[in-house]
Amino acid sequence: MRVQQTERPRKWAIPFGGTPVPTQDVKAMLSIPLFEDVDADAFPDASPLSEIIANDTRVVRYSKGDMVYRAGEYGTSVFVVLRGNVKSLMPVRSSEGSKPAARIGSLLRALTGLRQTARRNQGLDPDPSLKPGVCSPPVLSLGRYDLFGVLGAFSRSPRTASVMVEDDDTLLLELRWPALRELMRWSDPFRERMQDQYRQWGLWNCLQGSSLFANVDDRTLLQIAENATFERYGDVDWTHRFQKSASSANGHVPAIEREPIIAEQDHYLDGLLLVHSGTIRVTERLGHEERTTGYITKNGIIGLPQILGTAEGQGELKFPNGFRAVGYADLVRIPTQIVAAHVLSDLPERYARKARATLGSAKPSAKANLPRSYTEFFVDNRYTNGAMAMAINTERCVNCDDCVRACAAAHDGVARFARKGPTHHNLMVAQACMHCFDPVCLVDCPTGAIHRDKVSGTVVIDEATCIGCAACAKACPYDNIQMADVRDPGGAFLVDEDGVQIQRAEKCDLCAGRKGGPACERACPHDALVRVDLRDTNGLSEWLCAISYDTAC
Amino acid sequence: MCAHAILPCRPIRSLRSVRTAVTRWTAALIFAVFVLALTYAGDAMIIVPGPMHAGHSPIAECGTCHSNITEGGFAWLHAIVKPSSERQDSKACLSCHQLSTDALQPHGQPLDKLKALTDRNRSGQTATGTPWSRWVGNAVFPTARAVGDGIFCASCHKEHRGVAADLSAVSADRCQGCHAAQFTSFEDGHPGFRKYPFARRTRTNFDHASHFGEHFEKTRARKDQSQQVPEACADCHTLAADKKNMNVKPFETVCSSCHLHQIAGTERLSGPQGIEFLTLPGLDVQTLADRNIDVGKWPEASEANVTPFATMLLGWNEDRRALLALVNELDLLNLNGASESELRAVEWFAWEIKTLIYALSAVRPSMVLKRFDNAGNMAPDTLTRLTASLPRDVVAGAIRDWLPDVEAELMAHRPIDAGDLARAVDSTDALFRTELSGLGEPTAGQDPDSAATADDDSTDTDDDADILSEDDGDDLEEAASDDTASGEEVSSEEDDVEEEPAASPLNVDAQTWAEFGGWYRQEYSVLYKPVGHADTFFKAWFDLSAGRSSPAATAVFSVLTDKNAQGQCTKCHSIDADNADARQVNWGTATSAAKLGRFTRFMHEPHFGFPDKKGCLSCHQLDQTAAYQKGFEDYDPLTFASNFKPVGKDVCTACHTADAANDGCLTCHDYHVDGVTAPIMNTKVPR
Amino acid sequence: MRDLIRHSLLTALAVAAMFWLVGVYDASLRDARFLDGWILLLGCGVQVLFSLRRKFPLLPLGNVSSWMRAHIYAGFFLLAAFALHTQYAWPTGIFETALWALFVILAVSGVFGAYLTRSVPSKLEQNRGGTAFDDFPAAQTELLQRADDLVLGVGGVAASPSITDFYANTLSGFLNGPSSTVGLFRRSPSTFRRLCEEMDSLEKRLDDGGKQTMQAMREVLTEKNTLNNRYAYELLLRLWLFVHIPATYGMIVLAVLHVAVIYAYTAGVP
Repeated sequence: MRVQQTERPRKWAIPFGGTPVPTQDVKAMLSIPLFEDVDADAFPDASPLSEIIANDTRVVRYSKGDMVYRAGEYGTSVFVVLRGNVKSLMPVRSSEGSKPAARIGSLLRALTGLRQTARRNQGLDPDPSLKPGVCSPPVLSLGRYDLFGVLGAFSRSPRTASVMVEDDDTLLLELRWPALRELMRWSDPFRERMQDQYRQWGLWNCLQGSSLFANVDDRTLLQIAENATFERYGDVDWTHRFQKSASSANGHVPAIEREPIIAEQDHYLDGLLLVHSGTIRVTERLGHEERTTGYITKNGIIGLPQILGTAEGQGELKFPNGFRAVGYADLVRIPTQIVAAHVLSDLPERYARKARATLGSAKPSAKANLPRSYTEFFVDNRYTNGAMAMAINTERCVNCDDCVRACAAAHDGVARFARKGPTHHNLMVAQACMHCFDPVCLVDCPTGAIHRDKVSGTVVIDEATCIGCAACAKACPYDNIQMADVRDPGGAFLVDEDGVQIQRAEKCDLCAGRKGGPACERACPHDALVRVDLRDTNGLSEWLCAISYDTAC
Repeated sequence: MCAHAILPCRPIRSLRSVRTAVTRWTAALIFAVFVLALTYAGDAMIIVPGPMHAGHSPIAECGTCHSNITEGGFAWLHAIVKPSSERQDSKACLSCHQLSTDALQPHGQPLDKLKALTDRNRSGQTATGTPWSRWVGNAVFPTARAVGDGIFCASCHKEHRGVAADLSAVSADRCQGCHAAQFTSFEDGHPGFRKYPFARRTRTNFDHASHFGEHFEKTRARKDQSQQVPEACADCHTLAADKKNMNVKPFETVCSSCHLHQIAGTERLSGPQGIEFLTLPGLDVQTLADRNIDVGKWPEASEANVTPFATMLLGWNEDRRALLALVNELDLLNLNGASESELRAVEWFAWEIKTLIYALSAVRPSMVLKRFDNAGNMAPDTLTRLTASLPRDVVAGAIRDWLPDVEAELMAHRPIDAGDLARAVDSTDALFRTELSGLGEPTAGQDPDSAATADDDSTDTDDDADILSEDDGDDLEEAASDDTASGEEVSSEEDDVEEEPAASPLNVDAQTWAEFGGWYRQEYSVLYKPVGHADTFFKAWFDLSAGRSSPAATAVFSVLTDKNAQGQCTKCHSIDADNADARQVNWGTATSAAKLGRFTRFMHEPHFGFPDKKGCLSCHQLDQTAAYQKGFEDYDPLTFASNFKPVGKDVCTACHTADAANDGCLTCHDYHVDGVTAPIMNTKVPR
Repeated sequence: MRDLIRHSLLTALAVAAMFWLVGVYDASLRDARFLDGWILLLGCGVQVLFSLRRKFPLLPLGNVSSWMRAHIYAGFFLLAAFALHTQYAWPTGIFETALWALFVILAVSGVFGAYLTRSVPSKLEQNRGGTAFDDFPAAQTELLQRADDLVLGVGGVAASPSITDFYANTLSGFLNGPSSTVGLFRRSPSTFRRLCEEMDSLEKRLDDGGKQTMQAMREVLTEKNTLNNRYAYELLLRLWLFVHIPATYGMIVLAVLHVAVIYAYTAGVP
């Protein structure tokens, strides 16, 4: 066995900006309002504040017209304007009544409290070139020391707005996720400020992004927002709890009872719930047993049929099912009277139709034509998070291992998944990275090596910056990240100065950079393997059916 | 030292790698077995794709048919780069199966014939509705190559299909590949028939309409037991052995009871019943004597004309034909105004007649006739038939009566005429002289001299003769008819007078005596009376004169085809001619042989026994109004009007459909229209 | 189901088109055996490409499953082409018989294999277990070890002599026994059922400790039975390829030789 000695990769070996931020610049930065109440002494010696700023942030210079990021892109950095101005452009709110988004900028300011942090803003007047019009997007001008990008960074979901640079020689301070995480960890005021920001932006984004309010004008929407609350159930740390319970129960899923309750069945419905992120289990009580009937994810709405029904003198104002946060769930609660006052009158037709249909039937319709047991299987195993899970139809799979061979062929001879995993009936979810909607593996990475591809959102690991700390592997609730021994191109194992094997996190990268998609899927000769969004139960059942000889399909 | 020995790593082969090995070994083994088998068993054993048809079983070597395979074993590997050609291989087939010279052309027919047929088909009724598969076939797989390069045997005849395989099975679709007329089926799209089945007039002039409507009625009314009237079609028509054609029963069976006397001429009202074959023509003996032309003794009483037969027999070369033409122009009974050269020609002619008459009694007739067959391509029996076994005594009697001293005269006469007037004497002539001399007469030495002598006089008359020969035919015809007319008068007048030399004790004249036909002599003529139907003498002279265009031959032909000609052969037997040079008398009705080369075949036999009461009339409907006789006025067989209405396609399609009585092309059409002679043997007689 | 019908129809259409084209070709005075022969050979070549495609899964040439589907339907198409080429007749020559036989073996094993790949997975489903095919011997050894431990009383009390006796004489044969494909159809499931019944009758006569041992033993036996079934089916899934693939390359060898022979003996190319 050949061995090659090399230097162990360490954190900050490759600073975010290529080179560390010079010391005097770090000092200057620490003086900006964002950090004004951060106490440097609270930081441990292993990661002093100045080093965090020096290595996990960078100052980027932009010219007029540059895009900092675009809506829909993936990114976990937060930006602070140091010099110049930028403009945030939200996608046009889908509207059925085509009301102009008038003076949305000032409304937003009023809502998010940016006014306070942007005291030295050059003015609240919108850009004269952006006249209010039917198609003009809501525009928010950001000036010196304004902060943006919080929502994307915290939710690890796509950016909700595009940011464009307005002036030449604009300087932005970019804090990548590890910096943000460490700052929040050691500085309470900073964390609170960030969480506050997140709640405010999340609430607005949730309202703004929902077509439920398509017919509501902006001023009313603002009124709704002022009355709404942003709530979180559970926490992001769910993954560790899940793993612990999974290992202790020897593969058995945790009891439903341990999941935080959002609302109980038949309790008074005090408001409309809009899901901002996370997954919510929908349950139904049968005697003493609570059974899963479905789940709700981002952009889901709870309680609309009941509110509508009551307003029309039909039914009672209570929750039709039980709702529990699977891991965690962020949602916006709008009080019932506000909904009745502002939303119902202008309710888009399709919502009304759907709500009445739901109300008419005894139970809320199951989400898919896939048997309910599958739903339970997905929710129990947290597979609702899987955007590109590897599903294997065991009624088709002949164990030929062509998928494994293909994966190995695509990854230097080592397959990046195991053709085994929890199986329900004929569906096996194999141990391959699911490229989660909310990839919690990203949270603890000290270097940001594991990240989402900017465009596709695929979770990939940057080999150059991965230091083999195994934080991601530990964080993955599905055990889909492996620590692999690193070899040099000649095949020799790499060891550090102490002779310890150097490892690196490895996982499915969906064959990024190869034409034609994941090799495993393409290599399956029997149509037995697909990479799927497990939430898309329609597609999944269609697939399970399309290749089944079951005539019931 | 560790107590536990570390066992060496022993990898277990995966099933996949075993499979790969098995695969490689299998492929290698199969290849090796092939090579070994071929080495030890040979190609005829191993790679022969299957047994050949029983008829081909004697063929043991691949190379017999695959002309590029010379040896067994692996020789075929070389053949991959040295492929045989279809033509070469087809020749191997043709070494046993005899076909026409154009065997590898489509239908074994010459290209110009195919072209003519195609043009004819394109101009006439055309097929409708090319099937769309043919459109594609024509566009993607054109067959034009086949017409130029030929269609080879293996295109249709596939071997190695087993002992009992049908080697001549061909799908109907393949016919359409080449044919300009493409259609869906016989019923749907096949071109209509034109005048089927009458492409030409019948060879025998038999007017069904007039017989049915008139002659049979009259004969029936006559109630003569010897004259039978047919009651059914089958009384005259009978199925041929090939089961295809309907033949006409022989003359003797169906015609002779009414028509035989017409041939014999027994009811003839005018003219002699026999045809004048040889005469001693009347000459103006007085004038000849006055002009010092020596013709020897010549009976002054003769007024006979020169017969075209004699003229033809004497005119065996250009010079002689010229002289004879000149003589024919003269009024031999009045030579007063004749020029010297004309008289010289008459002199020559007189001696030639004498020689001919004498020769016919003195030498074998074939020798006499051979002289005018200078190409030597006539069979001896044909020559014999031309004289119809003319008995020597008839000629001898004629010599005795007409020219008692002819032998002596000929011996004494130096036949300068031939020497002077004939340009050259051919070998036949010399032989003739030799034969004459072989009689033991002392003039043998003279003849070669005369034969060898060439003369200028003949060239003088040459031009004249040619010019004269232009309208020779007409004159001769007139002359002939005049002759018969005068002969008739003469015979009636001088019957008694002429009886004397014949001096029969029963006192019947020669013509009456020859009641069943044959030779007889009357006055200065030797005549022949037909001996019933299919008389060989007449037939021989018809065939001879029909094929020649010389004035003499035309004269003979005119005599024979004359409306009042003895035998009246051409009353029924039609004459075909595409031009004057090649007339042909149709002696028989259409035969199977005559139908070779036809593209359409109808087999009568399977069609018998229709439930339909109409029988033959189902297809053959009498056309009472047709001008049947008009079709025989000229020599063109294609201008005609049949007694029967043409058979239309609808008659056939009543039964011949895909799901009824078969509508495949090969039902009515043969590919090898000339037929194929199955294996020919070229075995020599053992010595 | 809908796809099945659609693809079958498509194949039938292709077969019909081939028959039609060959008919037109034949009617155009050419030797149609050349056309359908080349269709057959090229078709076989495409079928072989499928195995190459499986060997190089990374080439962006479409999904292997699409290839597989095409492979199966093309196989049926080629069966029709084969029937056309051989003129629906038995082969006659020695060489041709060999080629014919190889093709038939290929076709029959192919159809059988297609049936297996569709039917066996659900059988495996009934005998679920995570053992990879190459780990079967190890799994078997482990079960045997577990049984041995039970009888010998490793970590507990040794089993009674009646159990030991029963184990040595009756059970060990089954636990040691091969799990072969042939065995699957000859032995199972009656052997297993018989053993269970014998265990039941023995268990009645045992004390509590013995009953416990027998319960554990029964588990082992059940696992072994499942393992046997799985192994047999997995083997079946692999063994048919031992016929199909060697026959493929053997036939390709003969087919190429066949083409060489044909072109040597033919007179002129149509």
